[in-house]
Amino acid sequence: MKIIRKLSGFTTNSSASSEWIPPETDPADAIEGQEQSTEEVPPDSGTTQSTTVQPDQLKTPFQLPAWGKPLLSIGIVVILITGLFFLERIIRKVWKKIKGKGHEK
Amino acid sequence: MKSNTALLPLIVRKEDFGGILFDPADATFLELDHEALDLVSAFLKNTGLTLNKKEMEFIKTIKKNITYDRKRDVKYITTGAGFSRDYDFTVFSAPTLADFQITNRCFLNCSHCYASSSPDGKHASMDDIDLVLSGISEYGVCQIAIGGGEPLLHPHIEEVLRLCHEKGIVPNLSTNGMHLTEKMLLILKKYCGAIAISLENTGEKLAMWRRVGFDHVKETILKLKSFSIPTVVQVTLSADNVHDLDDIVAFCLDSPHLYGVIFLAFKPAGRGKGFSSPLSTLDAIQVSKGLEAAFHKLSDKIRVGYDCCLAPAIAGYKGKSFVSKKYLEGCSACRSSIGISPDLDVIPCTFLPDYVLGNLKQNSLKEIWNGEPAGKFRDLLKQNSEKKERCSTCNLKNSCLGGCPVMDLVDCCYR
Repeated sequence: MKIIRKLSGFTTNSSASSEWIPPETDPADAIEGQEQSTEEVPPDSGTTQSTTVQPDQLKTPFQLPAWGKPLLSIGIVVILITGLFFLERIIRKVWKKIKGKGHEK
Repeated sequence: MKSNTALLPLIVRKEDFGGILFDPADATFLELDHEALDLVSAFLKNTGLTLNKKEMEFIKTIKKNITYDRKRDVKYITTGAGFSRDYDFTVFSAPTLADFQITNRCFLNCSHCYASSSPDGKHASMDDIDLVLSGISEYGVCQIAIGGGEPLLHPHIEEVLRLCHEKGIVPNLSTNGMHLTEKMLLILKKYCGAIAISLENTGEKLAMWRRVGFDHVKETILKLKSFSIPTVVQVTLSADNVHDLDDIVAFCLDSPHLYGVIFLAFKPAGRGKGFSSPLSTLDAIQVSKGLEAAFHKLSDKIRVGYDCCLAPAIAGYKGKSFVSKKYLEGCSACRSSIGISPDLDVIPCTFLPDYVLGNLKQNSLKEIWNGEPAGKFRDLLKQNSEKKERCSTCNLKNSCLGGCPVMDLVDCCYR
């Protein structure tokens, strides 16, 4: 089950029934014999879950864009490192204070 | 006021490979396999469906690609068996596009006019236009390119465009821009998908092609822009102007509001015979390089296209296509498009007025599309790439089809 090809755009000329080259076509991968898949459906996850729906019930939930996942992972790592850095500073300060109080005694 | 194309019905049409889903709102054209077509048809029929996860995901993808509204009408077309078993290339079961010359009248008398239009040219009658539009609508044609002559000279142009909508067809139109009154601009905005204007060169060099002059073309583009009408610049390339491609590209880049720029191969047809030489008379590598450079400069900012006659130049450079093979389209005549003259002669394309496949006053479009003359033209397409030695070793031959089967328009440099 797939979209074989997607074309888009009003056509003003008979010799150009599919005249518009999609803007997302990257000239870099436009090499001989190489096929691009525009909108292939993800492979079957094996689930047998079935739902009865009416067309207007199919609201698209919020989905991360393709670049979202790696960006999110990098963000988490950065936050973790920064957090550890500050935690180390706090512990050091507290330790100093405790040590200082011990000295006064 | 926005164009009403979003109100036109979606078209679902069965094909050998599965089928097509066409959305007139922005002319999105999806080719689907059998399973996908069955699912989409059932979904659009608005019945309670039992969908698994995979099917739900697919329907979401479809909804992202079209302007979906559950109240929107859908036209289901089954035209009969296609022709895939007879050819190595795609032949649709019916045209997806018809180019209809509604008049032969034009006051410009351009020396290169392939339609040989003149000030005393004839208009197609409203009865004939109704016959054409009814026929192509029943047969599931998605878009119509209205041309001429100058179509805005047709006394019933508004009625023609309104009728297109009534029949559920998106009309697009080519004009010389001489008759764009405010009233006309409002009509075009209301009904048309896109409007095309020709530009073969910039500055004073344009005078060789059309006497209206460069300033008129610029004014026309601005007029269309001021009414937010999607505007396509059509650039016909011959041996005389391909060297000025950089100037034409620079002009288009200065007009980023354009809907698109399409490059067309010059055809020595009609009055164009002897006017200029086709690109095939030039070095094929230089032509391919020029087109590739134009594509790369424009494609980031503006939609770019090439007519199918230019396919060998797109496919040929170093044996590689600079666009994805998936979007490389050879001659579309009798495969996905058809031309119709003001006398209702059906022709493979409007550049071949003498190659008559039939007449819509005598036969239906279905009879003509499935008839012997159309079949012979397809055989010509098949033989075209078979008879050329260099095509035999090229794996793009079923996309490129070796160029125009009738005229020598552009060469490829694949060796």
